[in-house]
Amino acid sequence: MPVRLNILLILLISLISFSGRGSDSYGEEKTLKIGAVYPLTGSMAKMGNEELRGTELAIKEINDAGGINGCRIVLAKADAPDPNTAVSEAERLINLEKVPLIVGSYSSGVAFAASAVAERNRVVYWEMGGVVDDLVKRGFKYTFRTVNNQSGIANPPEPTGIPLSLQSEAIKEVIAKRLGKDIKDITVALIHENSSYGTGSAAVVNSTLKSWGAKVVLKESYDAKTNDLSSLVLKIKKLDPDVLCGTTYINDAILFLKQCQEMNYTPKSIVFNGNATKEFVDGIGPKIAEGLLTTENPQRIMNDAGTPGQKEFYENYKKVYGTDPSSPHSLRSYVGTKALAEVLKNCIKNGTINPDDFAKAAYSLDIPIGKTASGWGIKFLPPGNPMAGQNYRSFGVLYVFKDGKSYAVYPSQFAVPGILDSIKFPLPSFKSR
Amino acid sequence: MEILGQVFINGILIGGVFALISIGLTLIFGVMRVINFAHGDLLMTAMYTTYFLSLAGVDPYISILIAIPVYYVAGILLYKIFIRPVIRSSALTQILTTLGLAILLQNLALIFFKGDMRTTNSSFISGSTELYGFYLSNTRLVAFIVTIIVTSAVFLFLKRTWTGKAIRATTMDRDAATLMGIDFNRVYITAFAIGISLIGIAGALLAPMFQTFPTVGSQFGNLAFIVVVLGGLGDLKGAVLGGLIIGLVDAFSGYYLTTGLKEVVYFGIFILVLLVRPSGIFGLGRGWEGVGMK
Repeated sequence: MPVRLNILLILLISLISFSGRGSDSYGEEKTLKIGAVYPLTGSMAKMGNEELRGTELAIKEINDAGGINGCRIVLAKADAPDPNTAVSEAERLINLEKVPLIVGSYSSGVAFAASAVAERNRVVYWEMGGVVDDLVKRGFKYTFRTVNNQSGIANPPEPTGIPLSLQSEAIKEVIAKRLGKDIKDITVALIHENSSYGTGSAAVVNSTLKSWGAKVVLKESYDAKTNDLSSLVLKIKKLDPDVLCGTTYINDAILFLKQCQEMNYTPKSIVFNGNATKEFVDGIGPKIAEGLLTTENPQRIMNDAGTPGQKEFYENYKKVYGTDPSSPHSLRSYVGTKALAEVLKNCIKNGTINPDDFAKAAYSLDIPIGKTASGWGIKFLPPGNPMAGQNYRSFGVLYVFKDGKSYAVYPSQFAVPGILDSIKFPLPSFKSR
Repeated sequence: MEILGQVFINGILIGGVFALISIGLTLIFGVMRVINFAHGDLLMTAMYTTYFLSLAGVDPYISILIAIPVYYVAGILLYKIFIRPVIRSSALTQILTTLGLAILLQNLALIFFKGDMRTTNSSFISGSTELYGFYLSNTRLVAFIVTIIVTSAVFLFLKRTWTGKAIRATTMDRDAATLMGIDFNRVYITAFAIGISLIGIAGALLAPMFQTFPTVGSQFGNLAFIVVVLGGLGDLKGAVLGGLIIGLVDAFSGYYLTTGLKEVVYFGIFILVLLVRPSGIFGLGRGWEGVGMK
């Protein structure tokens, strides 16, 4: 009789604990609500939504695996198409939703505004997309950034092997070698769109190349909204440099290549910045894209050995959203959110976090390069550093187009074996393709 | 010399494109004295129309035949909904109305088509033609030829037909024309609808050249205004010549100065023209430059 009573009791208890799932009245099941600020409407909507998807996917995985120390994560989403809305939405999240942590945001402007509100309210701000350097230069105690900053880290606390200028590195390590030339004999035409993005990036490439002794035979800017680049094409055609290096947006890059074709000119080699997207390949066609190099945020297809979980991320993404990611933004926010979970593991208490505990846990996080789905490592520059809170183990990757797909070719640990060898340099004429 | 010729050809061809995007704007202004700030965004919708038709298997260059009637009807509807209520109001009200339409179109496009860049390909016109060592971009060559044909057709229509004459009469003096038995509302509807169908044609020709996305209109809208003001607001020949001038300036300053400076050069010329001859190179002189004022 007592045995049967015991069994009944156990059954009863387990029944109660099961029915208690999801209700606040029972203490066993805890949730941590975190805010998410992204531009979900307006001109940045596409990228903003793509980044949010990566975050959501990571949180889904975390919750499916039982949450963090038994605590489920709930996302309180806020739409911030511009910095002004970012301020009001961050305030709403903090004051009404009572979130102790905000993640975001794709846009540097949104991140800049929302992080200031968070810092003022002693709320942690975790940025995974905005790249402007100044975000982490304001001496904030609770702002962290997993994505690499715009101009890179010149003096990391330990050697990381991450080049400051990936485009220059591509010219030296990939193009010069494949053309069988010394970097000092390489001639480069440098073109860039004339906003701060293009100008800043081209300046770094220019000075890096010059310091190596390469010859920059042309450096010219243009308005990214231009309708005609034929004159620029003619100039470059006359110079016929070894490398065409461009910091472009997508439209101007496509226009430039179309007009190269029309003027019957094929650069010997091309290295662009941030154009390994489907839109770009659709825009110029896979035949013209073949052999083009471009830097990009880490994305498919990289060497699986250096990117544990990347293949699964892409499979999962397709399962959940029914399509492939339209850009690399979801992978970087996925990796950022997974890293966030690692930090939370060490500082979550009774379903909430203290910002100082969080900062301590974040600064002690130490994931080596090659151990996340994007290949990034995670280690924040320590307090006292002018860019404290910036991850110095994140980086861009060099891709090459082949059959309409982009494959990583540099840094070599992420390169897909055999791809680069199958590309001909100098590039075969556009006409013959 | 060879380079000079090639730069000249490129200038003329892009000039044709500039003219193409301007004739609809100048016609509507010339007849109705309404400055259509939604011009660029209507061009954007026309590019989307071409894109979606190309998905359905209609080549962009054939879709012109569909775009003309569709945009003619759209023009009639737009006139009845947006323009007629403000046709007797001040220029400011008209400007705000068309500006509102522009914002509406741009945001509708963002909601329905997202920010994606769309590429429209033509199966029979692409690449370039080599002629005596010079290269002529085929898409631009076709755009240039169509521009000349369309402008001539509209010009002849205005000069030779009764409806055209009625349009010109209304342009010269609306009240007198009304007294002569011309229904100015019908004239306006016709002129506006023709102007909008010109946008339909332009969109079909632009789509294979450029990417289509919700804010592409602003890329062309501003330029169209410069071309039109340079040539003389309301003047068809002026729009074509204005387009060619800007095109040549664009190409030569891009080659002989730097590409980044070409906008500076043609905006400089634009300001100079405004200072010296406010009515534009072919403008009709004093009184006509009073942008929509009555």
